[in-house]
Parts: sequence; C-alpha cells; structure tokens
Amino acid sequence: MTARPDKVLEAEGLVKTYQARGKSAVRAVDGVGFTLRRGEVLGVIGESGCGKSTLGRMLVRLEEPDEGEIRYNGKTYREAYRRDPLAFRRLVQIVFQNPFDTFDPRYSIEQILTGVLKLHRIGRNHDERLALVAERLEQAGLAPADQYLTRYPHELSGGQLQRISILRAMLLNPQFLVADEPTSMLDASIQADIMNMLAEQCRERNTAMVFISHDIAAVRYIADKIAVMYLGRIVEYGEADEVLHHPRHPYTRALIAGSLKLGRQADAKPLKLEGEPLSAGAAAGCAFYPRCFRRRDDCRERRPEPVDLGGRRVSCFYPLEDEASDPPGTAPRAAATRESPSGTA
Amino acid sequence: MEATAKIKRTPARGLRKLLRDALAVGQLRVGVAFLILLILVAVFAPLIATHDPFALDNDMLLPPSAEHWLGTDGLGRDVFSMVVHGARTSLVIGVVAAVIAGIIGTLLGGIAGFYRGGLDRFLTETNNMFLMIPTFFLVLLIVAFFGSSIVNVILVLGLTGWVGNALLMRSQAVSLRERTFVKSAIAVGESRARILLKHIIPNGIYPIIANTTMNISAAILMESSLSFLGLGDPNIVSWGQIISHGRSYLTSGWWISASAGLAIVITVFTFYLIGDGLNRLFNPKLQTTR
Amino acid sequence: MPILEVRNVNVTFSTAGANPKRVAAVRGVSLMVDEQDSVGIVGESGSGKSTLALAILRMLPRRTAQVEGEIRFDGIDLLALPEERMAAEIRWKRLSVVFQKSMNSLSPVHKIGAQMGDIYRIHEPTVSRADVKRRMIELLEMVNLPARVYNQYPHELSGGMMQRVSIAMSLMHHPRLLIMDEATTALDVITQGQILDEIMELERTLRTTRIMITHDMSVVAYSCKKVAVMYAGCLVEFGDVRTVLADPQHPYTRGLLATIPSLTGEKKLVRGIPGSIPDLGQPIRGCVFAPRCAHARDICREQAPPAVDPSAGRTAACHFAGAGGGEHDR
Repeated sequence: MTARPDKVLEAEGLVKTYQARGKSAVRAVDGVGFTLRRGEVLGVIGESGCGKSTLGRMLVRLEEPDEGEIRYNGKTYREAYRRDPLAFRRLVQIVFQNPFDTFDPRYSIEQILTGVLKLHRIGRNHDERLALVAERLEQAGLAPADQYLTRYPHELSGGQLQRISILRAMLLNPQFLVADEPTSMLDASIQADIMNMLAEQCRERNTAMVFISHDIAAVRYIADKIAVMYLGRIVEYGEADEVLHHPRHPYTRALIAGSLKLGRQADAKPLKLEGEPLSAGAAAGCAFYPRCFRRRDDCRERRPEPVDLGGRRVSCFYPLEDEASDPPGTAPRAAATRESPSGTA
Repeated sequence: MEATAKIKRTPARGLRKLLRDALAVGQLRVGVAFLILLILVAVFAPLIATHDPFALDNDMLLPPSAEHWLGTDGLGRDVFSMVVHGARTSLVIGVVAAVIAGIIGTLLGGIAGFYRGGLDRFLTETNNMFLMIPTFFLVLLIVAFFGSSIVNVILVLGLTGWVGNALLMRSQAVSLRERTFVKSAIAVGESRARILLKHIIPNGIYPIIANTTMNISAAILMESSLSFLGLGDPNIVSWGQIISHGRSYLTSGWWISASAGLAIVITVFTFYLIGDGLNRLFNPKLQTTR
Repeated sequence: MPILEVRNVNVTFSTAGANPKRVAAVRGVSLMVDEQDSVGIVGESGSGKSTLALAILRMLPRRTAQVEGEIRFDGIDLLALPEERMAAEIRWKRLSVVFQKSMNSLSPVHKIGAQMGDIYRIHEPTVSRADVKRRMIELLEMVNLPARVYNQYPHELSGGMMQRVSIAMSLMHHPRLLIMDEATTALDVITQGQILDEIMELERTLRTTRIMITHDMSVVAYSCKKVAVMYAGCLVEFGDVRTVLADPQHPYTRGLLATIPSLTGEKKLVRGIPGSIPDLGQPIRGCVFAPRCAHARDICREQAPPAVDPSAGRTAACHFAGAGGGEHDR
C-alpha cells in the first residue's frame, strides 16, 4: 500500500453566506481554516448559531463553500474527484445529529446497509455483503445481527440507530469522518457509549474525525485538538486539554466557566457576559466585541486575525495571559464584575 | 414528519398491518366492496349482460321488464346490457387516464421539487397555464381536432390531468429533500436520480395515490361528458352515450338516461369513498373517531 | 408544612385505536418540597418527570390521562379541585410554570408589553392600564431586561431574552411555587448560566420555591438544593444535592453520574448504562431498574423495593441502598 499523505484535510478561508428573505445576508461561516492529520480528532465547539454544523456539512460537500478551499489528501474535489464522485464518498463520511431521521423509514436495516456496499461495488454478491454487514454489527455489540438487520428504523431506539449510522459510515473505510453533534439527541446514559464507539472505530482504522458539539466535556473526552467557534469564526485553536485548562481567548474562558459540570466547586461562578450576540458576520471588528469583558476600542475597528502563540492560534488582540496556576474566576484581570444591567444590543 | 404517511410499505409483516388498518376505515370498507362489484361487472360483462348491447330490435322503448331488466332504448337495444358493458369503458378509461396523469404528475412534480431551479420554475409556469385554461374545453378542442377514439380520449385526459398531482408531489419533494435521510443518501454516494426514485417519490406518493383515485372519478365524468356531447368513441358502449341518446326520450323512456346516470353516480361515489378512505388511512389525524 | 406534597401519584395514559394500551408514565411517586427548597427532578426520556409536572399543574388531557394519588399544594388538594377554581386561583397565581422554548408561545404579531399585560389582566382585571404597564416594566427589570423590551416584538429579541420574558410572565403574580420544565435547555451554555443565577436571586427576593425539571444533572448541581432522580416513571433517589452527588445510593444514579465526562482532572473512561428503559405499557415486576442493574439479585426481580421516604431515612428505592455504595461504578 502506498504511503498516504499525512494531511488528510486542509481547509482555508471557508466562507458560507445565507440570504434570508428580507433580511441581510448572514455569514454562517466566516473565514475558517484548519488542518487535520491522519487519525487526529478535532473537536469543534461553540453554541448554536456559531456555524459549526454548516462547517461540517461543507467538509463533506453537502454544501458548497462560497469562498475558500478544501484539500483532501492534498487535492481539491475538483482536481481529484469530480470524475469519480463515489470515490470521494469512500474518502469522507458523516454521522448526523438526528438518528431517528437518518434512515429512510421504508427500508430495513439490511437493505440500507447492504445497499451502501452494493452501490460501491463492495462484495461480489448479496450473501457476501450480508456477511460483512453482520460481522460489523456484531463487532459493535449489536448481536445477534439478525435482530437488527430485519428491523425497520422506527423499531429501533436512538442509541441503536446512531450506532448503525456510525457503522454505515465506517463500512466504506473513510479516511475522514464528520460527527455532527452525534449525541445531542440521545439520553445521557447512551451518550457515553456512542462517544466510545466513535473513538474506537476511528482509532482502529486510523480515521481522522471532526467532532462537532456544544458539550465541552464531551469534546474534551474525545478530541486531540479543539477549535472554538463563535459567530462563524474560529477564535481559538490548539491542543484539547491546553485550550480547556489554559484558554487564551476571552470567549473560550467564558464558555468553559459557564459550562456547569460536576466536580466544579460550588463557589466558582460563571463569567458574566453582558450584552447580546450580534448576528453572524455583521461585525467589522471582532465578532465578540459586544460581550467581551476585556474589550478595548480598537477591537471594534479591526478584525483580529489568528495569532500563533506557541502552538495555539488565538484570534484576539488582547489574549488572556497564561493563567496556569490561577483557578478560573479568581484571576484579577479576568474576574468579571457584576455590572448594572445594560443591554447594549 | 407530517408530510410523509405513517404507514410503512414493508413486505409481509407490514402488509398485513396495512390491510388491517385499511379495513378499519369505514369509507374503505364500503368503497372497496363496491369497487370489487364494479370490477366483477366490468370483467364479466359479456356473461352478465342478457343481450348483445349493439343489437337493434323492434321492441323499442320498452319499460323495465322480466326480459329487459332495465328496458330498451329508442333503437331497441337492451339498456341493462349497455350499462353493464359501459362499465368496462368507464373503468378502463378512468383508471388508465388517472394512472397516466399520476405517473406524469409524480415524475414532473418530483423533479421540480427535488431539483428546484429552472425546472421548478418551468413546471410552476406550466401549472399556472393549465390552471388558467378550462381543462374541459381544452379536452374538447383536442378531441374535436384529433378524433375521438378511446385511445385519444384516454391520452387527452391523462395529459391534462397531471397538474394536480404534480403540485402535490412537488410540495412533498420540497419538504422531503430537507430530511436527514436524503442528506444521508447524498453523503453515502447515491446519485440524485436514484434518490428521487428510491427515497423522494416512495415517501411522498401517498397523497397522490389518494388523489389519483379521485381523478378516476373525474376522468369517468369527463368521458361521460364527452360522450354525452357526441365526442366519444362511437364504436364502444359508454354511459355518457346512453344518457345522450336517452335525452330525447326523457319523458317517454326515462329509464334509459336514469340507468346510465345512476351507474355513473355509483361509480364516482365509489372512487370518492376510496380516495377519502385512503386519505384517512394515510393521515391518521383526519380520523375523527378518536 | 411543606409547600408541595406528592403522595403515591400514578399517571396512566390510555391510548385508543386498534391496540388499546395503558401506559404507566408515573408510578407511585411520593415527594415533599419544603418552602424555599429548590428541587431538581432529573431523568432521561421516559422517566415521567414532565408528566409529573403536568399532573401537578392539572394540565394533562382529561380523556386519556388518569391521575391517581394525592397532590397537596399549600395544604390544598389539587386533584379534588374543580377546574374553574384551579384556573382562577391556583394556576399562574400561586403555582406557575415555564416550559422549554416558551418563546414559541409568544405571539409574533403583538408587542411584548401588550402580551404581558393581557395575561396579567386575566387574574387582575380591575387594575388600571397605567398600573399594569408600570408593573410589567418592573417585571422586565426584575429579570434584567431593559424597559424598551416592553415595546418590542418577539422577533427582535434573542432566545435568552425571550426566555427571560417567559420567566417574568410566570412570576407576575409572585407565585409560591414555580415549576421550570427544561426551561434552559434550548439556550446556549452562557445564557443558561446567567439565567440560572438570575432565577436563584429572584427566589431569594420573591420567596418563591422552585422545582426544576431537567435531564442535565449539572444544572441541578449548580442551582438546586435537593435532587429527585426519576427512572421509568419511578422515583429512585431523593436527597440533598451535595450528598447525592458525592455518594449516590441508587445504582441508576451512580450509572448516570458515571456517564458524564469531566471537564477537569484526569480523563476517565465514561460508560453508558447498557440496555434501555422497559416497556411502560407492561406491568413491571420487582425493581424497575433491575434489568439494567449490574448488581441485581433475585429479590430485585421479584419484589419492588420500598419507596423513597426521606422522613424514614430512605433516600433510594433500592433493596441494597446504603450497602456498599460507592465502589461500584465510580
């Protein structure tokens, strides 16, 4: 087997604009770029509306970027895959947020899974394909496979459906997988299993993954690197634990402090953010300006470009200091004071 | 999720459930019973009819009797036999025309709704055109122009009746294309044509099935109207023809028009019941018994 | 006297159709809420937590839902109360609610102030217009919204602001008890934190008691004093938040806590709870969690464990509560 290039995915300057009728254009993704290496897991976190799902769909070509470029193994789609779109689909796969709607309700699991193999001409006949599918199901803990193959989607639970969705994506041995909020519609007691399954499947096949979520703890659990998105832009990017424990961008700081997870001390208060978020893409300067607790006047005028701080990329003119030893909420510079209600939107 | 029906087209297991649910709907029970009756009459027409429908006789304008169950018309033809043979005509024309309209409408509407863009605009404009033109006059024109054989009548009805189906399918396609399983199919590598045929149309077709049964009624009525006006195929027996002929004898031979008229009413009503029943079956919210 | 007493409440839904089924959504739940004790009810889908809330509010469909047991609010037997009195005296005045995505219940074509005023006047028809306006603006300020919101339309506000409006509306008659059913779930994490802080502050000033229903344990950990854990319609654990989180007695609670990855400290392997909730349409024998419990014994499958009863010192519905808790699923 020839050595495959190390950089599975390179995205640069991605922009996606939506035009709502009667309103101004919204830049859901506003200049996003990153690199993904073979087998690496990138976690993309941000709140709803930050553009992470749109980004995920662009990476698998369910949506076309308006600007910017994506290179898969060094080549763009147009260069390498235009004439063989099926080959592209074997390279790049996606797991969706809603397992209940991921499958056409009119087909059985057997038909759905063997159908994928048939489409890509894997397996010489139906029996071979069925055997392969059954094997994968049982390896993933869905045994006996018969129980699941004969069923229709409406007869299965969310957790089971999501597992099958992951299996279907991995049937094609993709080099790159996008997991778009794969656990947000599942119960807490199931989420852990799905995350473990994703991590395991990707590890086994050395598949790179972009794991999109609004749940920071989940992302920390599964990701090597983290990109924090806000209103269409990546505001911070770096090693997962580093970003989460030593955030440099004020928004990351607020996000982590606000993420109320067990184990936190009861008296560590979330950071107060005043003001309301702008609509995406509207800002000339920093998108976070209205709510930032460290803002200065020049933040409003120019847009901060990503700055490399020793392996970490931060889009901020005044990034936080490296507060390695200070627990959040007590560091003087970043401590939020409870201002009088303002409402500056 | 409301756009797609709650019934899953699953073989064997699901089919039994479907039949069970279907029979639970009152309209379907009655409608299907009548439909079976109609089909039997149409299929076994030559055996059921007591006389040759084309045979002229000297016994003209006889009221219903033991020998002529529905009497005879002005030319001595047995009305009962004519009505029975007319069932064939009506069913064939009605069903074939409605099915043609259904297929064309489904395909065009599905393509327009799924692919959007230029095709969608073209379809919408064509739709609007058809909606502006009184269909009946269009049909009249074409039949007058091209002749009134049974094939022409079927074609014309099919080619003008697709508009409603196309609109239905289009709106189904527009909402279905946003569903996750469609995006999922794209992500897996299925071609758009395949998605249209395998996912969009099968999931969106339910309202069109119900609409098509209603279209059968409409087609039968259309054909009857054409025949009534003398524009139907003269070589076959048709209820509209019978009514047309009976028009001259409304006082002296009321049973002529009345028999054929009643047959039309029963048939149209049957298909209406089936269409309504199907709608209730596919859209449980309409079931008022809950 | 506790402000809310729920005693042995059962809620059963009867479905019509070809196969009529009786689904027991809430089974034998008893709990007590003291004044100013914020209680969080935690559970996953199918746990019955929202159904319980709706039962307390008497908002379940009368024809299909059958509610048994006793619910006493401030001493009043709610289940025996006629609907007119429930609507006129209790709901919204003394017992109020905020639902998930309450913003969707705001009319898009009316200004916020007008809507709030309309709702206020249902229970206070005699107040003058000027007074109503003044009170509504006070309410808005109480939830940290600027006065100009009074003249704005819902689409001009963000999700967080709209949810604050809903909270303001629920508090307009200074209710004694406020039920929040997944009220912050649809919001982003930062706004959620802000709103929880504001709610906790409001509770103190208005002396309102809160019941918080959520699937998110961390919300309860942050903002509630007591926690009730529900599973498949049953109450499986109830107690002080700190105590329950530090030393959960019921295997389900332990399992639930073990599924949450931590944000700080060492990365541990998280595990889900194998299996799924039982069919609520079938009668259940023994402990409802037994099929999924790693420590189930014969008695668990045959005999239902004794119900949670804090006054008797029983905080978990488990035959082995208190015995060897802690070392299993941590």
